[in-house]
Amino acid sequence: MPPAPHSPAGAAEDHAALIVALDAGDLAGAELRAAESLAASCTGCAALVHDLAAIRGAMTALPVLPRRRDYRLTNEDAARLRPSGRRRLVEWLAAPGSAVRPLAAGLATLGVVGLLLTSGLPGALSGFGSAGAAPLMAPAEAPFGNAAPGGPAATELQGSYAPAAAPSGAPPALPSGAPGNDSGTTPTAAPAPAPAAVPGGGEAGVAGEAATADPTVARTLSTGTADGSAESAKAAGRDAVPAVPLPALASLALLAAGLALLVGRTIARRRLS
Amino acid sequence: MDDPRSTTTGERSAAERPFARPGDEAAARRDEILVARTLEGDLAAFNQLVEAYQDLCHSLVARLVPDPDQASDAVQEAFFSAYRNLRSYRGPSFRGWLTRIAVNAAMDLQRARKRRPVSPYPELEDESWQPPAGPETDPETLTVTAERGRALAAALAVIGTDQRAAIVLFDVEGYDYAEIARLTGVSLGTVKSRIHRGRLALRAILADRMELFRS
Repeated sequence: MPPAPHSPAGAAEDHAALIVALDAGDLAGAELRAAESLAASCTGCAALVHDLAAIRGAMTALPVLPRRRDYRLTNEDAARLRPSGRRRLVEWLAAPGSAVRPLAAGLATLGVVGLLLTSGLPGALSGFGSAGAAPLMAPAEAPFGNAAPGGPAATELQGSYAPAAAPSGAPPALPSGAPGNDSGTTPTAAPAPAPAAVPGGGEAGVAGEAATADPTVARTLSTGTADGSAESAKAAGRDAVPAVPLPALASLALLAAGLALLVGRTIARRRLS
Repeated sequence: MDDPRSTTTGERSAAERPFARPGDEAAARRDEILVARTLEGDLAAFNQLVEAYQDLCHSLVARLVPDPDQASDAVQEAFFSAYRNLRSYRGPSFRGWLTRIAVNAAMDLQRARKRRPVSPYPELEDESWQPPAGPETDPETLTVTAERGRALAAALAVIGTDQRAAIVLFDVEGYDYAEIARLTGVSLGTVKSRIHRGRLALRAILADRMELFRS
């Protein structure tokens, strides 16, 4: 197929990219030969080459305007510009080679892993509604558990109220009580979670905890007889309260710290750029 | 082709490059000492750096920014920024580091005040202005040179900021493609493209006055 007819008048526009690259010395090989051929054979291309060279030559003689200001810094300028503590923090956050990003990623990862281990993962491993979900109830129940020093009388009282409270309190207590039923290991513990939902019953929490943690204690409490069972309940309450929420809280704190560092770094980089 | 750069693909020999001079090493050593003293809190040391480079920065920025007041602001901001961020300076050349800051300051300022009508190079509009006297002192030559400078400056003020910066850095300041790419933070191909397009734009703008350049 023959090349398109070459019009000298439109050559500069048609081949401008090639000619300007030739003028800049950016061509090599076949492109260079093609451009040189064009410049030699086409008047429009040759004129463009000469014009570009003339403009480039004049550019070097572009006048320099005299400086009209002294740019030295005054003491006030220096004081204003001197990096403050906040500025240094921003620079540290934004520094390209700083350890902020790996640190933030590490903290966030630890937080996520910690959260999974303390809450989500056990539940996922043993199925929905299993004993692993029980810790989720612990933070809410913890205050009640701490109120246990009501003594044996209180235990007897709650034990006597338990049957009456069971119908209304049962549904909310299901998450902690139900797992025992599902697992099939403590069928007798089923009524026990009910006292945990007794409205306003501070000591009832102890019974709830005990029922969830130890079916034997729950049975004893439901009969309202043994003094030692109260001690067991208190012990169970003490054990359950700090073991569950602290790792979760620490994981949340780690995750928040990691995310805060990442956000801070992004803001700092934006501010400094 | 009689173009001395026709085979260099944008790279220049040390002799061609405006900043590869014999005194550069001594200046670099002096700069390092002044930077260290500045970091210890010596403002006078930083002002010595300002004195050493304010003409360079001004001439560079004044060619990138058509409005003289804006150019002065950009240079001042560049020195402020250099002082503020001196701790992040890692070498090897304070001059190169400062130049990059000045170019960025000029381009940032122009982007911020984009399309604001300015009177480009008002000094050049003054008919009494003449270029610095050189070896050619023939009045006619001086007049033509001055007229050419005005036309070129006016055309430069019209083309895009990025194209103007690339052309000034390459044709006037003598940087090569790689240095311009590093200064402006774009790729080598982008630098070439900006220079090519900018030159074609200048030629189109100056089409009616090309006789002035051919003479």
